[in-house]
Amino acid sequence: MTLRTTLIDVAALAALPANEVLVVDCRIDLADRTQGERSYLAAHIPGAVYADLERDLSDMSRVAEGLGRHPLPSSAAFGAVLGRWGWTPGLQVVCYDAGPGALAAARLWWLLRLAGVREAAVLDGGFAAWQAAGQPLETAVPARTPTRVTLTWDARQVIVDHAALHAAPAPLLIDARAVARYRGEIEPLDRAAGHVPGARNRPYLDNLLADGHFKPPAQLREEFAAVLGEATPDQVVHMCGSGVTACYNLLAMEHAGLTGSRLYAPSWSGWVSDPSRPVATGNA
Amino acid sequence: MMDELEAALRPLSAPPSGPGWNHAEMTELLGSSLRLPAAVLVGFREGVQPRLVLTVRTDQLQAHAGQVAFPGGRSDPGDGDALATALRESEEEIGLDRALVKPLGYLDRFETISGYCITPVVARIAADARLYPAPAEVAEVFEVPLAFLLEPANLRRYTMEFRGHARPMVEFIHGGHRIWGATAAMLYNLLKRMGRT
Repeated sequence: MTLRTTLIDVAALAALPANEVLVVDCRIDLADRTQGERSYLAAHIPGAVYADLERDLSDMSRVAEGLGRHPLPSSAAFGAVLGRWGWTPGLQVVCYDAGPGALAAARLWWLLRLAGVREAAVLDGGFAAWQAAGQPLETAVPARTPTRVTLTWDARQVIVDHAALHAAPAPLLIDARAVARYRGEIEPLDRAAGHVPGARNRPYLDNLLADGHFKPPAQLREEFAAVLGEATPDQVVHMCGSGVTACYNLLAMEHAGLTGSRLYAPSWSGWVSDPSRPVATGNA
Repeated sequence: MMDELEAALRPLSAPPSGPGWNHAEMTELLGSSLRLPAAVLVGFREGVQPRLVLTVRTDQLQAHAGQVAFPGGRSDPGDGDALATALRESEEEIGLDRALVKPLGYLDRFETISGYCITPVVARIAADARLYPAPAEVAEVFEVPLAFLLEPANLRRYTMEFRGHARPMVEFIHGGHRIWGATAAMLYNLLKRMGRT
């Protein structure tokens, strides 16, 4: 087996021996907060543990601090989550959500990266692809031996300070939200509509083919080159509504070999928490 | 983690000389023929999870084809010392810019069945160093978390029958890579110096 650091397809996951992988079901329904775990308990990929976006991959106690709708967990809290799952260094982790993997699966993948862990991949096509391939499911919650995990966040991969977005040298912001939200035509969740001045738009669903699988690296490279213009990958900072789907664009760039981009974790919900911050609307 | 590792090394100011720590065993196999000097880079990419940089040698090479190895090789007459050999070979094999390498110290020398006496140079590699494997020599570069190597369960011990002797061996399996032979033995020496075996 080869370690996967960006994506893994259904066949490759199915071929992995159970003791050589930690599969994490990250399904979440943002409209119905308990649906994800109920879906997991009803049927999941064999051996999978469950991660809840808000309980395990965020620190909701900090929501009032202007850090966005899904504040980052502390490294200690995230380490405790990994420990509960029996994670050990070097173990292949596979994250999936309902499909395509753009929600909590990408977030978990990125949190592992933030902790310096590279042996993690998102299941291409997610649970939907696994089911469509007729792969087995199970209902049992696996008993994994807990481990003690100590982590440190890699501060170079993340921006939480709003002012850093417009400090020199200014990064190139790429906003992963849908076009209408970026333009400010609609805003279903946050207190203001529009985008951070200077941000460019790359809706996260643009990373997918019509069949819900990831576009090939060469195509992603070409498309991101058009978004980046003169900027280099390490000058790119991703954002979205709350620092979740932005991880999907970051994953797409890494998959395309455009490495070293970062995340503005508070994202739009954090940016607009202070009404004095500027807001742009329209196409630029 | 890196501090603990650094403290376990032979200091940069005192490069090891003389026979390898496994000299007696190799003498049984090779006799007392002259060992050729060589050096490898045991390089750890810096970061919140430091990672050891390893290579898979191409199948076309005459020696150790297809095996997992540290970057490194035989000392050239022009190399001043083992450090120079390790840096030069790393530049040639994986395109590692020596300006991004900070040598920390040495492990004990190790003798190989192929007749070399290897000086392992331990170093930090800058977090954002880019690596460019030389296609003729290196099939793949991969990285193993230091934390993985320090986990006792990942050190696999076995014995190999060789010329009538059962020899204790160690290996690590990381992903699809089997780290064994001289490379695993030098890592074992590192763990031993760290008091982790």
